[in-house]
Amino acid sequence: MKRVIFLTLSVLAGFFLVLAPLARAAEAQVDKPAPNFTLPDTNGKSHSLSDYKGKIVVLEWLNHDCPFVKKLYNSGHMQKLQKTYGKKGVVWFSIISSMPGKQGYCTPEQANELIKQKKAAPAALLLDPDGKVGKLYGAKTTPHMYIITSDGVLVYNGAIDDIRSTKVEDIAKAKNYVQIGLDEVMAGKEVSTKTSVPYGCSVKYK
Amino acid sequence: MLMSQKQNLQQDKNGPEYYEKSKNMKPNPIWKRISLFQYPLISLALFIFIYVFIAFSAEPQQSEHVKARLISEVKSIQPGESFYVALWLKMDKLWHTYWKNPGDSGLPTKIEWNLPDGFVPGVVQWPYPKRFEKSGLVSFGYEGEVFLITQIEAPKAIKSGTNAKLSASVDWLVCKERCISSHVDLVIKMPVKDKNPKINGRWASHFRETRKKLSRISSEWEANAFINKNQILIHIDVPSEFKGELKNITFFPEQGGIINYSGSQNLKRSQDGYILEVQRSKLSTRLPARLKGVLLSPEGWGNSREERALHIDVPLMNVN
Repeated sequence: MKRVIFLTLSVLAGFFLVLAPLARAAEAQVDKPAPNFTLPDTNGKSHSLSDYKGKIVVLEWLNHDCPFVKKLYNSGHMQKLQKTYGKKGVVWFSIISSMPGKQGYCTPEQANELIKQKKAAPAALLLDPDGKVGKLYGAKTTPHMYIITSDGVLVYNGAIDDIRSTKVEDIAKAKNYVQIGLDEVMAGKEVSTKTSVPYGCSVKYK
Repeated sequence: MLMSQKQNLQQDKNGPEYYEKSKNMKPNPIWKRISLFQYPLISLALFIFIYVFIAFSAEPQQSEHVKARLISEVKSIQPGESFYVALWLKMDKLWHTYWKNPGDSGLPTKIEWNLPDGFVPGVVQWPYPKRFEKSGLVSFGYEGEVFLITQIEAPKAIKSGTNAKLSASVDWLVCKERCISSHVDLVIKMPVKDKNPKINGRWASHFRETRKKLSRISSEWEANAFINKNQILIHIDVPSEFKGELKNITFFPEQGGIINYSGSQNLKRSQDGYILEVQRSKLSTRLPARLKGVLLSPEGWGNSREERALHIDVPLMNVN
């Protein structure tokens, strides 16, 4: 009987000491495979990251009421990136992980209305009200940007650019990490800045 | 008193009717009791009071959920001398503004000075922040009210008897659950006087209390910072005179992207004192050569319970 107890305890200990930490590693890390996920878009269609193998994918965490996001959309800058790279075959997903009732949360209809209003051009806007995918990727702010290569490797995790500000004037002065990273990936080069400190409003998780 | 009333009283002064009449007379309203020449004096006093009130603490500007005001510590500027001006922010309940490193999200309050020729502004002196945590995301900032003090150097070549107009263009982000970005332009006008300025008594305690919250470099306490694969280890060497015990120490880094703000910080005893173990950020790839920030001890550092914030600026050394 003692042996059974001891064995059980050892297995449990082994599990928690060895395997549990690995669960943390499933969080998005650069130079590692980007974690797979499945989310519905605003038209009810389901998208999994694995559906897009062979394409470069960008993930953009979004909250239209956040002053940092407003800076990028009111200036037309974010939409321009979406259109320019969309034309080059990049699959751009905007993702909302706000909990229902919290800032940024949208029903599918509201989200579609916002896309029209802002003239946004993502491949799709994905809804993550449970925050599961946000947490999976460690998304902290809106915006928080990720670039995934056509092989499914995460090569950028961080801020949209290098000037933390809510002012439109700072966009032109800043180094846009997403633009630079995408250009480098498409040219077959190593991404020069793979991580940066993301800035924005906090993602409004549960 | 009206002349007619006076005349009546004088006639009956010693009679019983005098007493009856004076009983029935209502006291004259105040503006009749003050002699005419006192009016200008009173109005002058009133305007001086308003001027003083406005001059040394410009009217607060209200932006969404925040009141803002520039407040000078002294009542006049002495040519060639430094003085201190504070940006006073009062946040509505449950709303907060941010420290110089806002944490996982947010934006530090920014002050851009527009001063007359020759005036040189210093940098914001940040009191130690409060830690806010929600859904696993951590921010550093202030709730209630905060006094952000800046030292300003006045040039020698300003004339006594003139006025200096100090303008500040201020931006902040204030958040509760949602966030609002605001901008205000604040102005304060101060007389130039070639003598030791008087203290603005009304705000003296604010300046005093805030200064206790500024982080100081200590000559007695020594810190060293080491970094390994997952942690930053801050070694704190205790001075020989320290007989107490450190508890609940928190490290607030000045730079972003170094530590995991939601990770626990563990204080352990060591030979020379203590080691604070802090988790590295998962995003930390490019590390700075020096670790800068504030070590907060709620009980103080042995001198005064009220001086809780120790400033550290030390090389970040690799331990492998």
